[in-house]
Amino acid sequence: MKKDEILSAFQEVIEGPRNVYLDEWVKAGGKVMGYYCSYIPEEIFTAAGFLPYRIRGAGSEDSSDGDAYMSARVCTFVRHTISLALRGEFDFLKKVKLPFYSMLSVPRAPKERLFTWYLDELKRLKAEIEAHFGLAITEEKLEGAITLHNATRERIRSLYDMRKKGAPPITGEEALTITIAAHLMPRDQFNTLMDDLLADLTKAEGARGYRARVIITGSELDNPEYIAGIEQQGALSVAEVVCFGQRSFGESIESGVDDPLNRIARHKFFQVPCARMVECFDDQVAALKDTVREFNADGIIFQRMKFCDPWAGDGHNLYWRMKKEGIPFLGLEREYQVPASGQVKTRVQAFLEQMGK
Amino acid sequence: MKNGLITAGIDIGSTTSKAALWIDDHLGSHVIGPSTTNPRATARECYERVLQDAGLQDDDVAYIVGTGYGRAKVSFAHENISELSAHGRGAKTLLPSARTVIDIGGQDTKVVLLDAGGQMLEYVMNDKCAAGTGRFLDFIARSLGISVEDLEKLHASGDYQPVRLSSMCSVFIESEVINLVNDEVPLPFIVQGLHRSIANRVAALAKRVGLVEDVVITGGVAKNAGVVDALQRNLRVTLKTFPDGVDPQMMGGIGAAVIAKEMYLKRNK
Amino acid sequence: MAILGKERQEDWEVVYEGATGLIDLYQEDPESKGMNAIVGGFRVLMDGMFAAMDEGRPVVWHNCGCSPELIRGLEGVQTVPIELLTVLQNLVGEVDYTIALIDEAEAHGVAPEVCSIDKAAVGTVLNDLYPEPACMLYHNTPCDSQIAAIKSLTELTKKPMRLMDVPYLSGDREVQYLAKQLREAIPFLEEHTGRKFSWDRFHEVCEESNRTAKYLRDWNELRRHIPCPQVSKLVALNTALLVAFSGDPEGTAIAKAFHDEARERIERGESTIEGGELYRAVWYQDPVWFDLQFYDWMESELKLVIPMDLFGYYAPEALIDTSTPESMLEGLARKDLRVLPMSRQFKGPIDYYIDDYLRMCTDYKVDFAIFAGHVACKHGLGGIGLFREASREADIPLLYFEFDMFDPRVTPVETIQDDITHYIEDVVRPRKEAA
Repeated sequence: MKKDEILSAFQEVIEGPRNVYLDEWVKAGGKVMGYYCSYIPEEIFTAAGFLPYRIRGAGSEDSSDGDAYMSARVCTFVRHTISLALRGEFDFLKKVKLPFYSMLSVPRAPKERLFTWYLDELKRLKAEIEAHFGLAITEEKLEGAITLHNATRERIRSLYDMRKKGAPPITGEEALTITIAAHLMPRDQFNTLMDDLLADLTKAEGARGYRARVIITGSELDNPEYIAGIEQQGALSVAEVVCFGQRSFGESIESGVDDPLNRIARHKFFQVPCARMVECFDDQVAALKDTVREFNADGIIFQRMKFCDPWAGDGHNLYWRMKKEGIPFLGLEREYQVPASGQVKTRVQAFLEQMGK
Repeated sequence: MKNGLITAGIDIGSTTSKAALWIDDHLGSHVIGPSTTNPRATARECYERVLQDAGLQDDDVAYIVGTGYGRAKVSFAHENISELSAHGRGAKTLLPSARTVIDIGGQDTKVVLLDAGGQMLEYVMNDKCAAGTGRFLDFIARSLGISVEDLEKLHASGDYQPVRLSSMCSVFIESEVINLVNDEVPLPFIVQGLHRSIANRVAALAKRVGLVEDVVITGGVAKNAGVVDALQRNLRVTLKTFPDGVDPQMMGGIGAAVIAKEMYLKRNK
Repeated sequence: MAILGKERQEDWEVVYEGATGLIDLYQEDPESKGMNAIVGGFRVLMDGMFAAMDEGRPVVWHNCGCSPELIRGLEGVQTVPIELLTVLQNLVGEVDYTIALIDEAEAHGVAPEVCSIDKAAVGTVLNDLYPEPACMLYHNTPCDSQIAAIKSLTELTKKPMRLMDVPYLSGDREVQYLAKQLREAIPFLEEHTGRKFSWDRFHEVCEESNRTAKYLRDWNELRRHIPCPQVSKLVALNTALLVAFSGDPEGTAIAKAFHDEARERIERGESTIEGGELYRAVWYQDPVWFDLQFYDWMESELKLVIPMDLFGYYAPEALIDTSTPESMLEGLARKDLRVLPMSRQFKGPIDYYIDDYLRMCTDYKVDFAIFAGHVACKHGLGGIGLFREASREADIPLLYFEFDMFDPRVTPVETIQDDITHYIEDVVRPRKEAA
């Protein structure tokens, strides 16, 4: 398959709560485990024979069902997902005799002193899944899961590496579409599509007609249309450091050295931190700066969903840090699902003008 | 080309549309009129009017830049720029000491911080909420049954004793104001309170960017001396005005015309 | 007004003067034992804080999810909760100062939908109004808005900060986890303050904390009495008491005053509302901090009393077993997890949040409940749907409105007054009359 076909396929995958690959899986009797948040390791679900499916609000027209339950003053992302759930759009998660539910207490600081708790929580989760579904998540299965998910990570890394060039072969909108899709479909099928895509992209000429290269970071973002609005102004996104983007993939997990669950836990716990984490702001800043450098970016566009307290904690602090570093930084506010409005476009355009681009 | 290098700036705002000609290094003709629901036609009409005013033809104009809310619809412009850059450049050109530009428009408010060379350093906009914009004053003036022009006169008509308006939202302020009128609070004090309310919102925005003097105010609302007074009291700086009585509402169009000249020269070295 | 004979920043002098004024006012009034005690306690706290500054003693900042007993285990260290100045400003009615700090925080870039107490804390620190800390000990409870504050404060001060990770559930495993962290925090505190922690001192602090807890528990019981013997606003101040004074003899004195006042008034057969109370309600969620006289208005105008609220509720598991270091740490951990108002209810599953509410309504025999939706409280508002359902099922009429507890500009107090007045007229009174 060629680039356009593959991108089109990924686009369809992310459009609504379900997609054709997911449906096939369910039809063939496969079970699905829905989850929120990049601090929950998919490997455990894969090892249990489930398809890990990351919950988002795509396909939710309005959040009114969620609003009624939760008030209009809380995170729009969550309200939309609750709306979808209340309307039965996630019922494919219930296709088991007794639906499973668990809550993971992820420590709020990615520090060694708290790692054991995180590992214990994963062990607890594993045990709960085993007990509930009457299955065994063996070390062998976990190793297999690591291998599978590593394969996805490698391909995402290769994709991102191509964007470091002067003429990146894909846009931010396309890249985010791809990385979102990776969370919603069987990973082996994703990996196969990626192989074709990467082969095609290696031959591609790439885009040169942009005004500036930017990194997009900030709140949960699973709506590539938003990036499209930004890119229309001439600001090409060369990396999306958001949890549905590059951030949740990271480096590959080492194989075969010791207890696989331990390795999985380390990988997840010590990933580039998101704003919910504390005692690690220097690391967050360093990671962003590294990304700016590696991807030859001219500036950073930070977007924050309204009502997001953790990213509110980071937003202005990042602004002041980047100002000191001399890295152009634009802060935007948004609502979930709302595409980049004229207001956003004006700010992005002004940002480009400010950078002299 | 007659009279040296002539460039044009077309500023299509949500409430008013403006066109300005910049001739070498001074302001030429400039016009202002109401915006319509057809920005493409309004832009064309504005441009033709300013040309007519100056006794010039389209051929005489070397470069045209559009700006404002409707900038993408200025189909005959060579380029378009954000209204932030436009206001910044316009202010800086007409008042070289300008560093902070506060633009209170019909439907939005912006603050732009310029560096010593006139380049935009920082900016912040409020385009989601009517409080702190010209719309707010229109709205309240209407419910008080007075004209926007009267607001300035009432503000200055006596002691300075602005009422305290507690609501954040313009819609709620309307009920507060009506209650005050019913309680026979003198109208000047109510108007001063309204001006203070708008000034507080604008000042809050300005403080996010940080003020560096000289501070100038542009946009339609800058013509209301009452708002200017209230803003000066809040910010504790003297707001500078533009020389030669240039209409502050024209700043975006003028800035666009100046930038048009810069772009033309860069592209035609 | 000078504090300890020296001129201080205006924000502090104003608050100190306000507190002194209130103390003088309450001294005359035998009906205000509880209020007098807490305002007096805060003045003592201010004296203590400035004494520490003048003597160059180390200061440790903490947040309202952190009960300060552990820090008190270090010799000569002064604790400062980051909400302190804001609470004091509102206690003495100098709300304009809070508003100014909130606005400064927003000008600095803090998102406006962050809780006003956290914005005010950032504003306070932007103005260097708290004594510079040797280090900071924060809990991630009660909420994510505090996360925004503690990250900002760490950035602004660049001082060593350590997070106590409070997990979502409150079982024994979680208690062990938090207790272990508290133990490991001791060397951190010692290192940065240069002071020694002693188990003997900690023991004494925990015993003191227990004395306070016993009074508060009994006081909770006394407040069930019909008619309510004591002013409504005292319950709102309980969290301030816990956060600022736990482990300090001043805290016990205040709790004792709350308790004794209630008991004495019951013995004398006195109702807090002259002429008798007409309505009783649980006030679930944040108080109207910016106008604490609001409660006085409710009592005199509507004959409405709030016998208990979310902040006053003392969950019955706070006593710390002081036998061993382990048991003390676990007791403190249990307090942080299961007792501190808001921290208890706003994490993990919604059970505590709703169960506490239902139990309160029954125990205090209320006619209705008020959910004062502080606009920035996403943890509280996030559960409102389930909360309303539970209230309906339990047949408890629930008035819901939104406001900002520290910022009067969001919903003016007159609007809140109207809401409550109309609700009583339209819903509560007819129900009572029909019953």
